[in-house]
Amino acid sequence: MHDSSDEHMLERILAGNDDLAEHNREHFDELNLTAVNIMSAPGAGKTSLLECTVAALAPKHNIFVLEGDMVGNLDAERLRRVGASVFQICTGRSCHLDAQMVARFLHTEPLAGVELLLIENVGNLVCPADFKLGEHKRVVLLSVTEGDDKPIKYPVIFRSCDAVVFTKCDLLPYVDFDIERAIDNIRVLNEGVETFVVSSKDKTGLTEWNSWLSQKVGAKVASLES
Amino acid sequence: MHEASVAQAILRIACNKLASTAHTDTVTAIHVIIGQFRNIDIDSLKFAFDNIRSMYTGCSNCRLEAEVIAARATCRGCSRTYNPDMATSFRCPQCGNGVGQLITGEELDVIGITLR
Repeated sequence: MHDSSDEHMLERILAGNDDLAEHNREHFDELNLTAVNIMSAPGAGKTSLLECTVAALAPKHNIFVLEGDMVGNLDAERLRRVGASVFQICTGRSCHLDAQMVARFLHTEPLAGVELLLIENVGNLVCPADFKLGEHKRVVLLSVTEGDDKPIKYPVIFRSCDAVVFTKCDLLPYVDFDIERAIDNIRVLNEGVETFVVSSKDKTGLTEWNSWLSQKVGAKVASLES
Repeated sequence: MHEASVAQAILRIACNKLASTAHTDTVTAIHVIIGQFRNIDIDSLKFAFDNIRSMYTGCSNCRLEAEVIAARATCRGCSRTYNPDMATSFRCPQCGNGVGQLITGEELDVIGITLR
């Protein structure tokens, strides 16, 4: 038997995920919903920020949180306590959410009327970067306890995001984290990125962050009306 | 360890190719290209691939040939083409400016499959 070799093909390895992400995006657009994928290392303060965000924006927008964790529902319970509607995805052994997990959620959860879907990805600065979910905006959180060199160590995720939120800034007096240097390190990779400096503990900077999210929802509504 | 997910996706592509090609029943090799600006560790990918390939029909002894594609970018300051890497914190070695357009480095493709 002879070998049959096809050396002229070109097939994207993650095409299956990317196509499903596109399908999810269409679903979001049909619902007039803005989806935001929130990524960070474990413990950077995603859930704490979302608790503040939900509390601040719930009177203004209909919000739903999609919570991704490898195991357990601790974060979902925290968000329910501040009044959020939450769906928990446990990824098991997988270190990231993927488009299929989000597609399954979309086909089970009625989202009519929801304006803002906040997707809390699994805590990880590597894997989530390669798996699109269909989101409109990608946000990375970087806590000031992690070090201002992290954008250089994890270039893929910082290049592909729309905004970076520096969290735990109430700890700045106690750590050697230079915000300007961190922003410079990110802008080398990603010129147009938006940045926010916040503390969920003492509520610093949250107004700017919430306004940015609110604008994205507003822009979506305006684009549909025009 | 998302290399396991990537290995699964590669094997699924090979299985589809095998199923759609007449008079073949074995995948002997898969050739992939992986850009430097992807979060893929080649050794982890090969480890994952070797451990799951027997679960895919016709792929039990299949070889993975993975080629790394260096990142090339246009400098947004001087428009020169350079290789953005950690040594210069991704800055252009000529003018110190940042990464503009990435020309190569984001590949993640199957470019060849050998069947028997």
